[in-house]
Amino acid sequence: MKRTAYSLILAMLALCGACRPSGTATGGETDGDSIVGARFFALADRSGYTELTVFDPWHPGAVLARYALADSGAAASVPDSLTRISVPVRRAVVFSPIYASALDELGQLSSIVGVADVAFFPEGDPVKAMAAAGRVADVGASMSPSTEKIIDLHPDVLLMSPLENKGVPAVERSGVPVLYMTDYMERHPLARAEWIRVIGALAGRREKADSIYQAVKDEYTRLSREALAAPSRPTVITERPYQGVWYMAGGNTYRAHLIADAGGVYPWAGEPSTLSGSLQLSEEAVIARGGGADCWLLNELSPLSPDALTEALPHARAFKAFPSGVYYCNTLATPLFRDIAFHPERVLADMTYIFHPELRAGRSLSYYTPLVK
Amino acid sequence: MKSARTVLAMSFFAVVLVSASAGCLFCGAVDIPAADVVGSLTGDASVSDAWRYIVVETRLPGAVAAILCGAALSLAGLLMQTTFDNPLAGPSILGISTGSSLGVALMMLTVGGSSLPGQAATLGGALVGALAVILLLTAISSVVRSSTMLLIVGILLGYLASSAISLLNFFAPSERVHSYVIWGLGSFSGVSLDMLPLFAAGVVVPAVAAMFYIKPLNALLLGDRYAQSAGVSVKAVRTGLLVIAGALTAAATAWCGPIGFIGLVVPHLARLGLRTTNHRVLVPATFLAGGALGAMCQWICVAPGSLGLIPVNAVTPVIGVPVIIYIIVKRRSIFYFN
Repeated sequence: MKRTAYSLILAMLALCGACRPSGTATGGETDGDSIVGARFFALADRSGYTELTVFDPWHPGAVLARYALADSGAAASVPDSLTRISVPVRRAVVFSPIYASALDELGQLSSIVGVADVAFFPEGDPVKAMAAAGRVADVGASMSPSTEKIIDLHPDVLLMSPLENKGVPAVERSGVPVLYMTDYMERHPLARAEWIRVIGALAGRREKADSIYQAVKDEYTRLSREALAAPSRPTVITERPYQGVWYMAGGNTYRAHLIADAGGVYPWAGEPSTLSGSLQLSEEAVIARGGGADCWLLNELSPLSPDALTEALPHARAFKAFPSGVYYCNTLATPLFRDIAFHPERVLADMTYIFHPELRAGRSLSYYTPLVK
Repeated sequence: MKSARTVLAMSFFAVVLVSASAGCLFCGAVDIPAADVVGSLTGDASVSDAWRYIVVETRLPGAVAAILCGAALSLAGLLMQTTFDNPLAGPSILGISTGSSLGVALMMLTVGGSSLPGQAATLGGALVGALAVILLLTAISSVVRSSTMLLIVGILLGYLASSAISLLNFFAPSERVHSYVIWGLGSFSGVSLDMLPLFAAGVVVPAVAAMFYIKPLNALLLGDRYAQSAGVSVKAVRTGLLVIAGALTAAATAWCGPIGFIGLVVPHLARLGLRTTNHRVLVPATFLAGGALGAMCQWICVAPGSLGLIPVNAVTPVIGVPVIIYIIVKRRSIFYFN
């Protein structure tokens, strides 16, 4: 039960971008020919340090926090209004496998000294192995972390996703800089992926981070063009009801962008989200509009079979996609939530090959599994 | 003999309070030698800054907050049980805790905490929510004379507040729901050293006010009619007690979240320990015992050490439910039911 709850929270954070209102869902959020970048951070070079501004996603125009990323060996003068973080970071505590994997990709895995929710890092994750070997401290659950352990680790920075008004004030008061990563509130997958530049600035690997982001953007764009050039346009629905309510991503959300960029048609593409970002729909409303969908994508916490799906959702047979068009991701066995932040092109590839099997050319899916093999 | 029992019971509660508080200070996720814990508290410069911060800024406020919260809820529970002449009355039963929760839910789920300093929004919401329920109960109490009926009204108000919270949760963004769920788990560790004086004032002021109601409380034990014949204005006393109980509940809920069972259980523990229903000793004893139980809960919460912090509301039922069941089963042989 606890495992399930934590997994759901991890899933929520990883996919929260799926519930953010945004502009359109038409093949990427574009500004002319260029993809619009991240909206919630800005990096600016100042004299002796780099200023990182994190904007408040919940109050447009407001600033959530400002940081001065200053060389640990230099005595740069930093305004008092900025939280100073010594870079390159030598000791980092991370609350999510998303940020751990980014540090790993930037060659700074050894800088991680503490992690939260370690039990929910995907199998095979190097940080999970380090924690098991006692080389990385487990600071408990991200919901209620051990502030004592974090403070005792003397980290240079704590990386966490703030939940609007939920931080770790006791840690901040102790003088440990807490970097609020609001990447999950970005509208577009590529905008979120750009946050690797923030990790790069922390790790002292800005050029490498820029090149990773550029490669992600290029591959995402290439895949999307390929998908949009395909002749078919399958209709796609997602998720399944929970206690009678079908929480469907709104038409102006992260998930809708991914579907559109992969050449799919989302029945709720023109429908704005409610306050929560999700559309709270009844089953009959989904059957009425999405019953004829060709594909049905599910995120599950265990392997799924047609019988298990019909047991959980007796009306599954009412959907045209059932069973051959149903694909599910076992999020505890595959690193979907870890990769979706900084490598959306990998998720886009899976979606593209599901929606357009003719483009697959023998390539296997990384995250999704067909319900009927 | 009676006095000796009172001294014995009060001493026992005090010993538990001191032991549990020490447990809160010496136990935690980080192994800090006892000498360094003491050194941190006495200002020994040789103790590392990190350890001093952990002891002084996290463990000490957590322990004090637990004592204050436990004491406040227990006293509120005692006042309500006597006012409504019902052994199962308590802050959560009368809808006051739920009113507080609704106030917090309104702030967290609709406005979002970051428009105001998060803690201020939570505090304001809890206080306003609790006071709104108290005002409603007070207004209704002028029409509904029966304490039992008023108790039922309180329960119904709680249901209404719960319904509003469910609706707010349904329509709120997921991250706000998450924040609210975390607040709802309850914690004594969210109170900082800076906030303690304000929290202490929020508990001590109504607790002192309660001391002025000792005579009317004792009169109410013999029934409304007896109290009236003894010159007690039942309506005015009931209103005053409701306001005091509400203020105590609001303070506790605002800082620590909705904590269950303590307000219900501790008055019974105090009565059983002292073997009296005289509020002259029962009020301070309940306050002391509540503080002791709060500290003990906090100790249990931090006891897993490196495994993390257990939510308070996962601990209080483990202590509270057996006591309630014992009281229900042994009702006929418990002195104050006869």
